[in-house]
Amino acid sequence: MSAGDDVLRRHLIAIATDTFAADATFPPLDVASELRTVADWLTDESLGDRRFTDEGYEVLARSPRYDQIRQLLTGDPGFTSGDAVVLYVTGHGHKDQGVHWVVLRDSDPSRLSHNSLGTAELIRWLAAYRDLTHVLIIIDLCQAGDVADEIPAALQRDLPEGWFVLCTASAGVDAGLGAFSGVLESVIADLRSGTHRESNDQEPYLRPSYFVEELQRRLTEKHRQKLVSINQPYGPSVCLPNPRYDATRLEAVATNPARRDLALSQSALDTHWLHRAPVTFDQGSVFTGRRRLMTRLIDVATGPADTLVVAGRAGCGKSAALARLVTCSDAAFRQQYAHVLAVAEPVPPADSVDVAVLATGKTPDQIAQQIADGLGAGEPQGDGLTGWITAIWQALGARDGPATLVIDGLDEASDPTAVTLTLLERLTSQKYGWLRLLIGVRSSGSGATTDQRGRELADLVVDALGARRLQADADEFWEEEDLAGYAAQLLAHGEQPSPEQSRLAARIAGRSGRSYLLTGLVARHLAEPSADSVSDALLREVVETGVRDLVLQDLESSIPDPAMRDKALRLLRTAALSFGRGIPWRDLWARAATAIDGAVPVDQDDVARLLNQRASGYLIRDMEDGGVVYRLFHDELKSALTEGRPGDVDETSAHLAITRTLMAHAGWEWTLR
Amino acid sequence: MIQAPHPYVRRYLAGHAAKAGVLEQVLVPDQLPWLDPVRLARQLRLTPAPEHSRLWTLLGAWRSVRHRLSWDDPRSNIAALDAALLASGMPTPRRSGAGLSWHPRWVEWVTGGTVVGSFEGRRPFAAFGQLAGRSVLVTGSDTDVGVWESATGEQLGELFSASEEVAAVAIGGDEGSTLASLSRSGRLTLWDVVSRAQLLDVSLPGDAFRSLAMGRLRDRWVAVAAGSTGQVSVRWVDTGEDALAPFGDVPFVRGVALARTGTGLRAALGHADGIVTTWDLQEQAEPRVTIVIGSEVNAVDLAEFDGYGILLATGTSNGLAGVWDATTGVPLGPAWEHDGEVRAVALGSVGGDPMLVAGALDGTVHVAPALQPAAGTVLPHPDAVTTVEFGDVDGRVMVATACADGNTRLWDPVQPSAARTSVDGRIGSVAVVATDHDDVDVVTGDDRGHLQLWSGPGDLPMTQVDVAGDRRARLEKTAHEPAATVAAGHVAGRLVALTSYLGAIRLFDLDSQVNGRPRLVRAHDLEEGTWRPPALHVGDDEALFAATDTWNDPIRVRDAVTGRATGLQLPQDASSYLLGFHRSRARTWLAVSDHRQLTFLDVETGTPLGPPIEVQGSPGSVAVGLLEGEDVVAVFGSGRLRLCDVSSGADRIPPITTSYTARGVAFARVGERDVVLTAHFATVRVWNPYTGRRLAQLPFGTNIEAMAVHSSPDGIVHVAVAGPGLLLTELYDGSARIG
Repeated sequence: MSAGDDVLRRHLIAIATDTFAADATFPPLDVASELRTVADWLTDESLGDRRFTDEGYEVLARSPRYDQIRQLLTGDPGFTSGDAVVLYVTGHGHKDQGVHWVVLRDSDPSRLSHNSLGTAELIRWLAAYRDLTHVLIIIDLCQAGDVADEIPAALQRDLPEGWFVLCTASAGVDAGLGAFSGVLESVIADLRSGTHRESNDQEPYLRPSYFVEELQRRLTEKHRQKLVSINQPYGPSVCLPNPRYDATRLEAVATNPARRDLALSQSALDTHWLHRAPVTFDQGSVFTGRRRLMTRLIDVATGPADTLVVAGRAGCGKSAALARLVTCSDAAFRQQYAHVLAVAEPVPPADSVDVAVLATGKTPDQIAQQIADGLGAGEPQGDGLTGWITAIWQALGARDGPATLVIDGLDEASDPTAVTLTLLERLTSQKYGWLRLLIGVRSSGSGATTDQRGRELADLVVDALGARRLQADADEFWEEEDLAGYAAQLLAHGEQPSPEQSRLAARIAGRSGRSYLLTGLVARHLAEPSADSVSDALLREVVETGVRDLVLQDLESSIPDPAMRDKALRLLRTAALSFGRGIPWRDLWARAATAIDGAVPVDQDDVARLLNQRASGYLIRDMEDGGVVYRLFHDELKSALTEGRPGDVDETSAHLAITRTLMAHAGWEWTLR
Repeated sequence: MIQAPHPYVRRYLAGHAAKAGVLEQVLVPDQLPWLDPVRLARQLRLTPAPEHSRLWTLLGAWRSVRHRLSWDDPRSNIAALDAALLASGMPTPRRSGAGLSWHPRWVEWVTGGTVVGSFEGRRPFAAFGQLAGRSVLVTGSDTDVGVWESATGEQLGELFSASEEVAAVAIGGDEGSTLASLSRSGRLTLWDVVSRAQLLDVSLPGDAFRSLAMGRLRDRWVAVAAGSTGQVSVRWVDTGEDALAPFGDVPFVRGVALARTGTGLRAALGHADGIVTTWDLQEQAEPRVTIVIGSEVNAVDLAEFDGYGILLATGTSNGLAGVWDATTGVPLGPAWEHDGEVRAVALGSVGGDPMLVAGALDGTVHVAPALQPAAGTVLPHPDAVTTVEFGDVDGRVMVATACADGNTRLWDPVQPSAARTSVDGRIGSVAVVATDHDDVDVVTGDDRGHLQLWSGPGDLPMTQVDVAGDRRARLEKTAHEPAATVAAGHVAGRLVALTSYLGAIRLFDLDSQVNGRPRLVRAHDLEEGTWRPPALHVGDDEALFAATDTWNDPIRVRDAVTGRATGLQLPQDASSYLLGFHRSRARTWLAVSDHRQLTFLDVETGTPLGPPIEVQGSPGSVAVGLLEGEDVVAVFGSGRLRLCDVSSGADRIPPITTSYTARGVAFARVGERDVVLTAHFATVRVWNPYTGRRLAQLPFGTNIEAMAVHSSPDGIVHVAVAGPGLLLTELYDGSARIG
């Protein structure tokens, strides 16, 4: 879950006055350009879900009266934990008799207390909302720093961690018109263009420490103004959307947000649909074939209320099939890629999937919240998981027919059994016939004889939910020619395969044990020699090379420089060894990779280089705890890279190195006991 | 400055360390509070540590409070763990951090066991089961029934809701997923744990049910229960129909147990008249053996052991737990004696040898080889024990105990985790007093009728005196005994304590000893059985109490030193509460409430301090403090904390919503900041009285009874918390100390 996932409403509240009755004392100000700077950043359409709006507060930006401000900031509906507020105050400010005032249009210079707004009062009003935890207040007024003296110590110390207050001039010092906004504009411009070392397109939100430091530096250099910061959050702030963040990079194709979790990745789309070089690995997505499997999935997704567990061994394509179901049902996707759908039969009807959830690393509460959000269920109806489930029930009950929910990666959830027993079984309770639920779960083997495999998660889910089971790699749904077709695509580099290439593809498919991953790696490896020169012995040798070594060979060809390749491999192995949703990109990845093995340190530039290589296709980007994380895109790949190369430190030692890195990062002393 | 570690470190450090085989290295007091408790529980499960090792103590403390730890509030985790560590005997570091911080100075507290399943403030009943290959504990309390994974304490699914208050639970069925609850009035409800479907909801004939058992009879599962009529109902769990015709004619069945024996399914019934009967249920109920125990039988268990035959365990109201040969009715070994009624017994096997565990209302559980009681171990609990069970968790035999503090705990019966008890009984009242060497002492009253003076850690208080005299509580079986109420402070330069216990008011000079006991200064006895809880006050050089002497007398305030009645006199009114004395404007005021209004009355003149404050129901606890030069009253109860101006009676800030359990409220000044402290069922919280925001909290692993607060001139606040023990902790402002 990212930092902003719990925020439902983002308010930009600008309080600005440009003309004054006492214009001899308070001359007119061009505050419009200042407002525009702030709005250009925070209300930019490209921010998407992270965008703020001034809706409902527009009047405050146009020389408001005191009672208007008070009414809008203290009246109903108020603010809750679902709100984020950026309050920007500009105009004239003045300190009189120990009190700092926001000068309003009718303020009397000789009696400011009559028609002016006490600046600290603004902060008190917002602080009265005890559940409001995401707030940025910018006081861009003369002598703004005086406000710090007026906020009661009790309030100043106890502002929640997500709050911060910026005063753009220190106590007793005038703020230059446009000084702060000019600096803000330049900082945002640099972040957007990527010209600053801290700019990145990975993280949706900026860290206050960097942001404030940069504003401070430029404000001092250009205007001799000091920025006074009161309280400063440690982690990324919802109130600081990163203008350079690229939501589409390595991410899902554009779909409805409710389906984005399982939508096919853009690069997968490029690879398999548009046949664009360079080829990246398949990201678990197979777009053609699997007709019988897709037909069954579409039947369930569009039929009566039902629960289907889609099981199968790692690499058999179940996740790809579910992703295809989700993506191809999305109206936005269908509009953009109509030409693709034409060759992707069978295609589900538009909007046949309502919500798609990737369960990896998620708790029951997080999954429930995502389902509720996807269904537009609104606020939870009570505390905890029950509150979300009640909200989901209400949303389902208000529909005309059943909703279709796809959950993949249940076996990778924070606690799969708990998700099953605490959430899913309640959603599929028989008295509610409101849901078509398709669940992707990895299982062992493809046989249908449960007793031989022992009881595993897929069995538990089937029993708990009274579900039907579909084994994606069972004979019934396995079409060998699909795998061969996939191999042929790769052998032919997206062109029409020659007869020789098709024959080789069939041989590869026959030896790859129903694994799309291995098939893809083998086909890519054999794509260079002419197809008819591949002997059985060579084919057997390549297949037996295994996933890990094929990946190593692929890296060898894609990253010629041995030093760079070594770093890339260490980074990939670190990602393979990570838990949860992946290794944090910013703080820990390079450090951990440095510690695992090798004499040459890995740094953030090496991470950036890897992410710009085609080898980044092995990785999935995700969010956890508000930060960007990376993990291997495929379990089989993760297992292979966890082992490391011959000569690398063993897995236990690698985990020890990571443990010590994490300890050091936390400032904890490592003591052998 | 306490800087939160990176979330990845908090979530996954233990995972990496476990993979590296160095998990123990990361489990240290500095780091433990930050680690994700849920993930750590999954890593650790019930991993044992060498007895009396550092890890053994650390894990013991962590497991006693892990149900109170959270991802979102590591500062609270630090507070909870530090107190638990100190209670387990491990010194805790003074944390250097900004903001309000706790530093426990000494703790004498019942500790031990791994908490699995917690119902705050409600008496649970528990049973072991196996579900989907995982050991689970089922616990029921009020109308809720929960299923928890034994090894991790994780709740599996939402609570099941029974239609009536639960008196017993059981779990069984071929898949281990049939969950049963029984109410006192005989409402038997069955669910399938996995599908959550309710399988059955029937009323059994009779009343006063306390025990429920499930077993397999002729390849089908049955639920067996009996109550006041003595008629035993044996119902098929799949249909709810009678599996056997109701049988039994000895009324008041207290305990029911089933055992699978070589000859089929057997039942044992424990009766209120002191006998146990055993029955063969295979084809039809046939009586086997009648054993005369001699005292009201509360609990029975039955099991067959290779080489030992069929054994019967009994627990009785006279505190005895015994083992019998169920075939012959001959007692096997001596009975074990508890200080309270034995309410639960269970038989289990460790290494093939039979073990007996017994739980009593005095909060003790005794576990030992069934035939060698002297070799046993006492497992201390903070409150009455309602259920004991043996079960298999990750291949280890464990004992589950359900306790009236709302918690169900797991114990290794052979090597219990860091169990420790320091205080006899429960402490229900506490006061903190300044000493003349810039420190504080603590004065307490317990449920044995004792006044105690504590100056630091140790197995015993520095001074203890019986304040009960010849007055002893007439007790209901399951009720807490009332505790002595205390107030303490300095009068005429001497440290005095004023106590109230069952109508006996006593004033002691703690600075003066007679025969090694504090000198009794004055005694005042209220009419026995007619008293209402008096209000006590010692401070500002005076000792006062407010009480009614007899049924018909008005409420009077008396000087405890001279016995003189003050000018304040209130008419007797059964609906009025005496909420304590408070100092303000150099006067002493008595807080009185009649469910609708709260009023402060001058103890000499009866003049009200301000207009009445409107309240709804009992205000719970009140305190008066000074904020920005204004007298402010904190009213804590009915799920709210209100801060009202005394002069106007109006709320200063919107009421703060809290839990419904109010154990105390106090104003304090920490460094340069005013705060309000509230004590709840198992938590002390600190609030900013100007904003209503919560600043800090101190969670406990079990319930607490009372809190006392003392603000020292150096800016440190001493907080004493009483319950199944005593804690003295400092509350300080870390920000003020930096630099």
